[in-house]
Amino acid sequence: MLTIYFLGSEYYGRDLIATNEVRSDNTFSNGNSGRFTTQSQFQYNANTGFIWEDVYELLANVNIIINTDLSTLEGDLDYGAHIQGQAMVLRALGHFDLLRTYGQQHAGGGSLGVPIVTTFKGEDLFPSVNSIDEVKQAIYTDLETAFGMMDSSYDSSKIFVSKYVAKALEARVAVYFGDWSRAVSASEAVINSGLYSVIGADAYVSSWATEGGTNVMFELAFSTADNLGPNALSYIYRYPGDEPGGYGDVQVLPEVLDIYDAGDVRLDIFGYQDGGSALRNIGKYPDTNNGSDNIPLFRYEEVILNYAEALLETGGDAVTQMNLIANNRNATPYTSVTKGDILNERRRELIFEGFRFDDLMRTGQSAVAVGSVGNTVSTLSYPNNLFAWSIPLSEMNANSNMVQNDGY
Amino acid sequence: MKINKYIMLFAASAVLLASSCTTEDLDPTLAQSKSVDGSVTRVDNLYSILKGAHNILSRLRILRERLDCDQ
Repeated sequence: MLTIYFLGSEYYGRDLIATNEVRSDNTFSNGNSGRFTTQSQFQYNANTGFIWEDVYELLANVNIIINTDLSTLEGDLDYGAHIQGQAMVLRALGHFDLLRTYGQQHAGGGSLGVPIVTTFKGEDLFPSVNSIDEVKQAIYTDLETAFGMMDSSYDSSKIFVSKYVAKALEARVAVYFGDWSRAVSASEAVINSGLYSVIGADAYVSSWATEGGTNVMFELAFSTADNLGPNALSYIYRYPGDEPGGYGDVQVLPEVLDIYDAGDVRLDIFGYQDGGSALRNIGKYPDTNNGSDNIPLFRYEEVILNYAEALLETGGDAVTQMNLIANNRNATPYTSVTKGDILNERRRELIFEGFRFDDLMRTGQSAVAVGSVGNTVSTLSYPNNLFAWSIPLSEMNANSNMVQNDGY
Repeated sequence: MKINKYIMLFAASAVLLASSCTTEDLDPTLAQSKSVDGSVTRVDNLYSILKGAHNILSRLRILRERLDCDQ
C-alpha cells in the first residue's frame, strides 16, 4: 500500500479567496507553481476540487450544536443559546458560500441552488438540491434566529462569530440578491451597535498585520504555530523575497492601479517583485514566511459599502457613507454617487479579499479568462454555465438525488 | 519442472494481487455513521464543537491518497 500525503489550504484559508480573485478583473494566475491557472482561465470541471466537502463538514459540525436540547445540558444555558446562535451564523455562512459557488443564479436560467442540510445525521443520506430561493430563505431564517438568540455580552474575541456578524452577513446576502430594504436594516443594526469603526488612513496598511482592529468584526485566527508555509494565502500572493522563489501565482492586472487616486493610502498595499515586472499584493496578509496573519472575513468597511449601495437603491443618502471610506483613505470625497462609483469603491477597498467576482456576477457583468502572462484567453458573457462551479464527481457518484449543473 | 515453478509463482502472485484488491476498500465510509448521542452533556461541549467548526473555516487540510493497489 502506498500512502501519499499532501497539503492544501481550502475554504477561507486560501482557496475560496484566491479563486474568486483570479476569476475577477483584479488578478490572474501566472502559473508559477501551477496553482489557480485552472480557475483563472475558467477551465474547471467536475474533477476540479473546491469547497464542497469542507462546507458540508462545517454544516455537520454546527448542526450538532444547533440540534442539541439545551435543557439537557449542565452549565450556563444562556451561553449555550449564544453558542447555538454562533453555530447558526456559521450554517448560514456555509449555505451562502455553497450557493454563491454552486448555485445556478448566474448560469443562464437555472433555478437550482444546493442541498440545505440542517441535521448531523438525518434520515435522508441522499439530500436533494433545493432551489436558489429556498436556500436564500433558509439563510435569512438562520440569521434572524441567531441574532435573537445571541447576547453580545458573551462576545469577547473577534476570532469567533459574534452577534453583529449575523447582521453583517445578512446585509452581505441581501446585497448579493438585491434585497435592498433588508440590506438597509441589517447594515443599520451593525452601525447602530457602535461597536466598530472604519480604520483611519494612518493605520490602514499596518492594520493588516494587527489582530482585532476596531474595523474587524470576525477574523480567522492564524499564528506562527500553524506554520502554514507555502500553503498560506500570503504565499500565493507573493514571493517571500523580491526575486522569483516560492509561489506568487496570483498576480495583479496592471490596470487595477488606475482605479485609485494618486494619494490613496490603499496604493501602499501594492508592490512590484521580480525586478519590477510583477505587480502583487504586498500589504494584505503580509507575513509570507509563516502565514501568521489573521484573515478578516467581516470588516466594518464592507458593512458601510453594503449600506451605501442599499441606500442608493432605496433613494437614501449614499454620499455620506461613501465618504466615510474615501475620507479615511485620503481619496477624493464624493459629491454624488452612482452605482458604478460604489462598485469601484468596493473594488478599491476589498481587493484581494475575494469579493470582486461576486460583484461582477450580481451586477450581470461578463468575466475574462486570463492566461498566465496576463493575456486575455476569452471573454465569458453573462450569464454563463461556468459561473456556477460543477458539483464534485464524488458527490454525483455518492448521491443519486444530486443534479449536475448545466455544462458539466 | 522449471516451467512449472514459474507457473506456480505466477499463480501465487495472481492470487495475492487479486485478494489485495477486493472491493471492500472501495465501500464508502460515511462520517455520518458516527453517533453523537450522549456525547454532549455540558455547554462546554458545545463550545468545543464550535471551535472545531471555526477550524474548518481556516485549517490546513491534510489530504491523503491511499493507493492500495495499482490500476
